[in-house]
Amino acid sequence: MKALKTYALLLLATALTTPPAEAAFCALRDPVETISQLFPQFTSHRSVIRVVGEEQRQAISDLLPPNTLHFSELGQHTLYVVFEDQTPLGFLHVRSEESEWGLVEVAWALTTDLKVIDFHLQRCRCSTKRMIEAPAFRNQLIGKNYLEMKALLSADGLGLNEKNISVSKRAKPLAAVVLRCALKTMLVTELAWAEEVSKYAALARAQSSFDQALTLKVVDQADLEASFPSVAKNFPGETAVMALKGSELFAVQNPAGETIGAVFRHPLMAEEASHTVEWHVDAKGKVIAIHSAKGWPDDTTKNAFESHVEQTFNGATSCSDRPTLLTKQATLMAQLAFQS
Amino acid sequence: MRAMLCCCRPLIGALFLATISLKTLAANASLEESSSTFSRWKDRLTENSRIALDVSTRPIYYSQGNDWGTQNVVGLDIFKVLAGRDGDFGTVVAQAYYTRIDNVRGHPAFFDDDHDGELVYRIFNFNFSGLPGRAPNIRLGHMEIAYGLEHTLDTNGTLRQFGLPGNLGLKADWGVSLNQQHRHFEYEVSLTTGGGQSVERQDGSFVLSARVGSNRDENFVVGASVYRSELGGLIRERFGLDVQRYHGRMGIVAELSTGNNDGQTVLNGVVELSHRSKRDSWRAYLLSNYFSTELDSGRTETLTAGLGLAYTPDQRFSLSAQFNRTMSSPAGTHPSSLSLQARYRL
Repeated sequence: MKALKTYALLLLATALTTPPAEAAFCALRDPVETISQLFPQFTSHRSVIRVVGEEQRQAISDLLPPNTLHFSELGQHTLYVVFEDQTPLGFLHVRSEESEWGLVEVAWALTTDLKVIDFHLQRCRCSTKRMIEAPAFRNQLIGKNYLEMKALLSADGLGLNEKNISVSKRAKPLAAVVLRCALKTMLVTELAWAEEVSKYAALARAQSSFDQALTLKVVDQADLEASFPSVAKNFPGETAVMALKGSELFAVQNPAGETIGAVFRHPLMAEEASHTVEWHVDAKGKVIAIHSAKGWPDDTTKNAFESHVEQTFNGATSCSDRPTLLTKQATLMAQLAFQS
Repeated sequence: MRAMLCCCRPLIGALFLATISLKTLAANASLEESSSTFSRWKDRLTENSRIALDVSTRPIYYSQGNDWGTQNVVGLDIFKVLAGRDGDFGTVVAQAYYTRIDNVRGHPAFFDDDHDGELVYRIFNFNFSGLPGRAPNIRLGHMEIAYGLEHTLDTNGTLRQFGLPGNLGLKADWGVSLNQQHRHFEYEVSLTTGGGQSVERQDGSFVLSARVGSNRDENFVVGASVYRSELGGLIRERFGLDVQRYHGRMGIVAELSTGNNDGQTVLNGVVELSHRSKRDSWRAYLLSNYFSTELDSGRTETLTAGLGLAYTPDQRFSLSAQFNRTMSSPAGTHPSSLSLQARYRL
C-alpha cells in the first residue's frame, strides 16, 4: 500500500509539471527508414521534442488564414535534425493534415533554412497518392521556401493557385492538402523549434562559408551589450542603425577550438515582414557572405547587400546607403567574437 | 534466458530509479536544495521526453447476471529519446499503471481475483538503435508479442482489442527482440520469458514469436507470424496471416491463425470493419473474433461480435463504448456486455 501511495504521489507531481499528451507513446514510429529515404546520405539524427500549443495555433491562424492546427497537431512533437557526419543536412518533420480521406501524414524534409528538400506521404488513404508522389508534382515543391510555397496557394488559403502550380484535376484536392501541410509545417517548425532552426541554419551556412568550420559558439548577450556603445561611436551621431534587440553573435570555431570567423544575425523589417539577415565575417573585418534566412524580399535588396561580399569594413568606412550602414555595424559587432 | 533476465533487471531498476528519485529527492532534501535538485532531475527526465499521466475509468455491464464491473487505471506513460554525442541511439517507453478491478469478468491472470489492484506494466522497454549501418534494433524489456494485427495497430488501453491473449495466452511479455522497419517491409523476432507481468520464467515458460510484414503505413498491409510458447505447461504453436486494407476513411483488417495447443488443432480469426471521421476524432467499428479447438470430443467454437465507437475531441480526452455479444459458444449461452470508457491524458 505504501508503494502505491508513493506511486500516486509521483503521478501527481508529474501531472503538475508536464504538458498535455495525445496517443499512447508506444505507437510512435521509428523514424530511421523515413530519414534514409529523404536524406540518403545521412549518418545520424537527433530528436528534439517540443510542445506545439495555443501560441503556435494562434500564429498559424494569423499568418495562414483560414488554416489552423487541429487537436492531433497540438501537444508534444518531434523534430529530427539529420546529419552527415558533423554537417547538418536539414530537418525531418512529420505533420498530419485533415482531409476528405482522414488525416494525411506527410514527412517533410527541409533544409536548415526551411526550404523543401523532398516529402513522403507516410500515411495517405487517398487513391491519388501516387500522382502526388510522382516527380511531376514533387519537383514543383522541391527547393521552395515558405514565401515561394505560399505563392502556390490560392487567395482563399485553401486551394491551389493554378497560375503557379500544375496538377491533374483528379489530384488537385490532395495536392492542396499537401501544400497546406507544407506551409503549416514550415511555420510550426520555425515557431516551435526556433532555437534549433536558428542554430543549425547558422551552422550549415557557416560550414559553407568557412571551410574548416565545425562548431558555433554563442557569444554572450551581456558581452554584446557591453560592446554596443563603442560600436555606436563609429556612426553619425554616435547612433547605431540596428538596435541590439534580436541580435545574435556566434564564434565560428575549427576542430582545434580556434575562432576562424564570426556570424552576426539580426532581424530586419522589409515590406511588413521580418527577415533575419546574417553576415559571415573574418577576423580582418572582411565580409565572407551575407544571407537572408527566409530568402530576400526582392532582387534589389539582395543585390544591395550581396555587393558588400568580399569588402572589408572598419570604423572609418564611409557609408552611402542603409545596406552599407547595416553591414558596417555587423562587421564591427562581429569582431567581438574574436576577442572572447 | 537467465542472462537475458539479468539484463532486464537493471533496466527496470534504472527506469524506476529515475522516476522514484523525483519523490525521494523532494522528501529528503532541504527546501532550497530539493527545489534545485528536483528541478535538475526533472530536467534530465523530461529533456527530449514525452510524459503523460494517463487516467481512465471503465464501467462494464454484463447481461449475464445483470451485473456491473469496473476497471480504474492511473499510470505514467513515458517516452524518452536517448542521445549521445553522435545523435540518437535508442528510445525508452515506460508505461506502468496502477490498475484496480472490481467484479471484472475474464480479467488477465495476474489479478488474484475479480476484486484486486495491481501495478501493471504495459509497454516498458528500451529499443537500442545504435548499431552501425542498417543493423537491427535490439529491444529489451516488456513488449507486445510480435504477432498479427496487434503488432502494428495500437490498442493500448483501449476497448478495441484483437483477441491476442485468447489466441496466444498473453499479449505482452518480458524479453528481448530484434526489430527493424525498412522501406517496403518490417520485422520483429522476440524471445520472452512467458512470465507475462513477471520478469521470471514460470515453470520453464518461454515465448518465441516473429512477424514479418509489409510497411504498416501503406494502404494494403500483409503480414505473416509464427509463434511457439510454453505457458502453464501448455505448448502452443501458431502460424498467422494478417491483412489490412484502407480506402478513404474505411478500413478492413483481418487475421487468421492456425496451429495447435498440445497437439489439438486450433483455428482462430478476427475481422474488423471500421470508419473514421476526417479528423480521426470519431471511429466506429464492427469487430468479430472466432476461436475454435479440435478436441477428441469434437470441435469447440466461440464466435463473438462487437460494435464499438470511440470519440477523441482533443489530444487529452477520449470517450469510447463497445457492445459485445457472444454469438455462439460451447456452453450454448449468448452473454453480452457493454463497456464504456473515459480516458484522460495530461
